[in-house]
Amino acid sequence: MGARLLAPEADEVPPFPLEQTVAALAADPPHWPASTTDLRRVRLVLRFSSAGLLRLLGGTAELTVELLDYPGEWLLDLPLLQQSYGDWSRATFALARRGVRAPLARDWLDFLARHPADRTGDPQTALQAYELYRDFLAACRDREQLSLLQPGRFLNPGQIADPSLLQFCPMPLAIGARAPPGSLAALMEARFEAYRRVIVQPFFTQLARNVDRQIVLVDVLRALNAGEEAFADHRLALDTILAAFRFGRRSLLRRLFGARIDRVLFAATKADHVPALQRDHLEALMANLVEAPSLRAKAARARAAAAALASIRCTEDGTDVIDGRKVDIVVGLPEGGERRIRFFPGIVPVTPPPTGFWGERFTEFPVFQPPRITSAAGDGIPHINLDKALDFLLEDALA
Amino acid sequence: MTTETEAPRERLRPRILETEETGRLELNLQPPPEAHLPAPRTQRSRSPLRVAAAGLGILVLGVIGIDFVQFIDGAFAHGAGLGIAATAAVAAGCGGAVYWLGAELRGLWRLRSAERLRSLIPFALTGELKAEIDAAAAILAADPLLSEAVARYRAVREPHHSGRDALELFSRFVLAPADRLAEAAIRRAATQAFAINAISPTALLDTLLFAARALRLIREIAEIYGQRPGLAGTVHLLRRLASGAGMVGAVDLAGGILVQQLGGAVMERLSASAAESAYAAQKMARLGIIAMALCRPIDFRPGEVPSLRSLVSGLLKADRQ
Repeated sequence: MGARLLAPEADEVPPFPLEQTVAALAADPPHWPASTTDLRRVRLVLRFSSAGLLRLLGGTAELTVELLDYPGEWLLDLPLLQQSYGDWSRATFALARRGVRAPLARDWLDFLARHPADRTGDPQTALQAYELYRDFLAACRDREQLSLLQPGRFLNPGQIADPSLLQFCPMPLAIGARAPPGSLAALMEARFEAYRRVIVQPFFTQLARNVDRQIVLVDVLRALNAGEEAFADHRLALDTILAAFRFGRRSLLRRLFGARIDRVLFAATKADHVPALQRDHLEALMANLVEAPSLRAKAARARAAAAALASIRCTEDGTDVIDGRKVDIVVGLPEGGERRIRFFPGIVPVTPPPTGFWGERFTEFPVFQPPRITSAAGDGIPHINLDKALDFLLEDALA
Repeated sequence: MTTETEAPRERLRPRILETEETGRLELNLQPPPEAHLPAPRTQRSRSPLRVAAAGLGILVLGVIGIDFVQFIDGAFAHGAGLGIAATAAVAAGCGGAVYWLGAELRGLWRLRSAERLRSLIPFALTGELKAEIDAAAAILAADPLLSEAVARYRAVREPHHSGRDALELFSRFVLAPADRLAEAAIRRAATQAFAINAISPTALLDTLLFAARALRLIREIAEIYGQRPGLAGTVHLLRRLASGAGMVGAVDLAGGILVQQLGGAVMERLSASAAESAYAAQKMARLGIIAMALCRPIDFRPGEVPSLRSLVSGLLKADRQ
């Protein structure tokens, strides 16, 4: 029946820039608002006509929805809470020496070879090692489209009061070995622990206290077209994050001792980059990728679902003929361009593809101009499945 | 003998194709799916009739309860054996009433479940949709006429099927046979309405017989869709029928077309009473289609609503011959 924004609370979480976001989409030409770089919050009060007991009493009900938005990479830090520095270092080294990561990690690994872990540690060496490691992570992301890039804040730090908290990297430590006091490894370990204690732990404590519904946005399409290794890495990142999620049915007791996620929606984004017929495939592929965590969620009596989602639809469906075959495509206006383009996203498989599927990588995904919206309240925005996603997440609360 | 097989075609890679078209796309908002939301409840003052009915109900229950107690008490006054027999008789009567109440509530619950499913399905995510359709299949599996169809649906549905696939399979394997059964029931009822109108000596008797046959048709259709409504369920269905007749606008449209066709080509050739009987049959068929729309666990999709013409045309042909 109605909704209103609640004034931001005077705490450390800054409000979501709603006005700037609407202004960007209502501009001429419209453009995408800046992506999320820090934790933001918006609180809404929804007033609705209840179908439950309240309806018999003729009253209306109110639901306060608190939305927390943060960079998805930060979720990669969740598993760190359950790992020691030594375990994390060994896992990271094992990954860095394999596949497409190996050539990109060369400078960082060479530097570590020249600065052994048991050598006396000084902040300058730690800073250099950190910068080389961060560059390696950035190259993995930008050149190879990889996703399992820990710690999550190295590439998207947000607002951190003490940047020295980030100045660490994995060091080669044998199983069971302890870093000698005063060594470079001991300095790195102390910073890793401080990073977990000061940055990671408070962030996830806040989420665990407040969040009982979660949407996990996954760019399946980009991962699919970035090649076999990028896709496998994306899967590994998802598995790593989701293994650390706490699912469970909502109950009063659980609310008192920390909420658990009782509904989780795994959403494959960019649903408007594939034509209608393939959206089901995208959704099925998403469901397939998260089958194990979905089963875990269901075993804990939480509800899990997968969807193909575009919160703002920028394209329309069409057909074209490519290599003599009639195919479904999407048509849209690229951001900053004047001529429309027709985009064929390839064939989206319904299950993780076999080895023979992979060919040349495709990474030049078009960025389509969003439709221009009016900033008047109540006017809708074209979307794909956003209504269904909200229905899944809020249906019981709005009953 | 040689067999030529088509060489596997290379997988098409993603690509961007330039066009000469310029300008922004005009993307229209998708119309929301029809959810058949209940009309907002208007604030009504308590009806005096309802208050009186509730009071009278309490009075009747109280009198019956006291009568039972006195009846048992009196029987015990004549002897223990008679008292026990009276207690057993009252217990059997109460048990029967509770059983009837239970059956009524179960029927109502099934009806409500089907209605809830129908309201959820337009908004369901694909994964959830499968669960909703399976719940609808469980309702229809209780119907002996459709249990085989449900088993066939369950046999063909694979885990990799999307929600839309499941909906398609459910429509094809379960709802289509159920629709055929319902259509047959409608044809029977329409034929009888035609006959009732033709032979009924008075308008009042005609109306009463028509209403009784219509009620039977509604219950038949509800049973076909696995709902087995009791008295309360039937009353609920009738109330929904009265308030939700607009749900199947296509029926009215089809009816209009039929009337045009009948008006021009057929009706003129029929006698006045035969024309009235034809209209009665058409009304019964229209009622049947609306009942189908109400009782189906999933809304009709475009092209699935049976046309009035298909339900009553055979009847008219028979009449003309």
